[in-house]
Amino acid sequence: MLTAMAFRNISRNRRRSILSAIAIAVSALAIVFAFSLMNGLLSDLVGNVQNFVSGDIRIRHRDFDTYEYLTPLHLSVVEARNLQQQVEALPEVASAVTRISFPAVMYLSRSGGSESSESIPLQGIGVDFIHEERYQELSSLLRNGRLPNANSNEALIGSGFASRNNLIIGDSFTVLTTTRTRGSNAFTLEIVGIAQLPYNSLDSRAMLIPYDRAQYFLRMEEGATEILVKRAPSSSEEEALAAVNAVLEGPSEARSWRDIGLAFTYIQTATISYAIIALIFFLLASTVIVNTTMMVIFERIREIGTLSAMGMNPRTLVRLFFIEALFISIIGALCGALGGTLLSAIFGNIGIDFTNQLQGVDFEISNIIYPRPTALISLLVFLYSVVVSALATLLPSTRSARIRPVEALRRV
Amino acid sequence: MVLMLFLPLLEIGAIEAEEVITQMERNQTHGSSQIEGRFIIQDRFGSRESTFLSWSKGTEESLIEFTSPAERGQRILRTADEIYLYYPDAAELIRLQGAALRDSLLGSDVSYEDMTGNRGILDDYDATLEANEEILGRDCYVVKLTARVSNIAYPLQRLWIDSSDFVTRQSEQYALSGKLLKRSITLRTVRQAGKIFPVEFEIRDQLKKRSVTTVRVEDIAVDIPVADSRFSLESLSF
Repeated sequence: MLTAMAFRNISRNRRRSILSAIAIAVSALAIVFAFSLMNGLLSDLVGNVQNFVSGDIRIRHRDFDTYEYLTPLHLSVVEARNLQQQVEALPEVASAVTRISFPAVMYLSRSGGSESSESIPLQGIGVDFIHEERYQELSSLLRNGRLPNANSNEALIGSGFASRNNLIIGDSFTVLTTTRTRGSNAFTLEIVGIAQLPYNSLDSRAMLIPYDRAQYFLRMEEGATEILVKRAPSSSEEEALAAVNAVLEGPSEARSWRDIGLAFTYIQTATISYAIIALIFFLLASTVIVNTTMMVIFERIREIGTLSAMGMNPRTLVRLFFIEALFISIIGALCGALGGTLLSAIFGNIGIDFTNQLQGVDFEISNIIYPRPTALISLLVFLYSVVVSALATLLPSTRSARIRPVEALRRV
Repeated sequence: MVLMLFLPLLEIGAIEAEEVITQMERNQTHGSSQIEGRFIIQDRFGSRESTFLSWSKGTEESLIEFTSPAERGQRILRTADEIYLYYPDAAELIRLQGAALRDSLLGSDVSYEDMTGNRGILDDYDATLEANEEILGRDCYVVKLTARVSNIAYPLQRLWIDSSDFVTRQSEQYALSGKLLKRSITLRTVRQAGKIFPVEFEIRDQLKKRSVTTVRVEDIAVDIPVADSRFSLESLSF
């Protein structure tokens, strides 16, 4: 009977019910979207770190990290290609790529004469474009041109780097760098591709060249600075790491991406920070829900007085308002959670461009973030919104139910 | 000729300070030269060697061509105060300027900047005779050089010039703050064409840990004909 009465009250005060439901829906939608955005941001960060920085597992010379600031190319992974094939053949491994990372300076002839007039720092990466395709579909990042051919003096550059230096497909530039023998070498490359590399510090500085040419230019012989490994989905990180370590010999060592640099620490910190931000968001949204629900109850004190005068006891009154709020919040939260999921899915496809906001940010966060909604996020937000809204009725309805009918009827 | 390249490091040298410098310059410079030599570079990672051929004419023109496998064909041309680099894999020459001049040559203790500014020392520095001191068993004049110009690699230098043969036995280069940047010691000299000049010397960049570069001249011919074209930009990349 109470349920029927609650339904009748909801439909009788349709505008008020709709407004309450909308307030709850908007809050739920905002929370779902914010959570999906944060989820997308973290996934993006993890993806970038794993694709470009460390893989799931990174193999390097054990002393390379200690002297990394000196660009110690001589502390390389020897027989890198053989090792990469061996590692890739492991059942615990999905794919592995060899890389040669090196800092360099680009010289640009602005006048077209023989004198170079401008030097610009850049990050060179020697990659095997065929293997790289299996590893991370590099071609999907292409905006113009094509991937460089093996054993050619061709380069793929970041779109930010290209636009900052007015470089287009077909342009050539000369790069000066330090070699494995700690001498220097310079070489001229032709730009055949421009890619939207995922994060700003890479897109604005990076130049990708064929692995075999990088080996030659840098006198690397058969060495690489690192091998990045992605584990098979069926293997745990620990299993994959143990399997890779088992095939290593000499001074090379494999490390999990969690133990490398600051990325994992940052991700851990970011997760905590985002959880705090989410909590604040939750609380803000809760105030909206609580406020709306309480206002509705206080607006109806006269009605409460009438019901009390007609003999409804306070407990039943509280239950009545609780059931009303529960229905409204279920409808509002459901619409909000679904709307938030839909909105996140739409932006998850088109992405949100943070290029301007991320200018100068030297971290592995992409300029375009794709929100990633999940069923868990939507479900949790739905339940949370329903619980908060329903509970928010308890205090005002309990207080209102205690007011004597005569006093309640006197209120406007 | 390689000696000419490192003139600011090695050259210096008077009873009056100016006289010591003039005698030293007269002793260590020559009309032209051809040298075959090697850099032996030791750092925290070990030792490596690079061999070279070099040619010079006067005090302002010189060319080094590396002959060791890792750098074969690479050339460094110095004309007046300009330095150009030629690399066989590069389609253009690189003119070093600004901060790039402070880069290390082959990762050694010698910077490209050390190869510039080879006008007469007294054109750029005021010389003061500080004392006589014994270095490596040789009596030397200690000459302090204070730069008169601002666009110079080392605002302050101190030279130990042999009082008998006017060879620079040791030199130190300082920053404006007085911090010691580099120290060079002559290990071996040779007498040729009536002149004595260093053929093996050791340079230590004081800002690098456990690093020392030895430049060893293995063959030298002075006052020989060297074509002017050897120092042209056209022949550099030919």
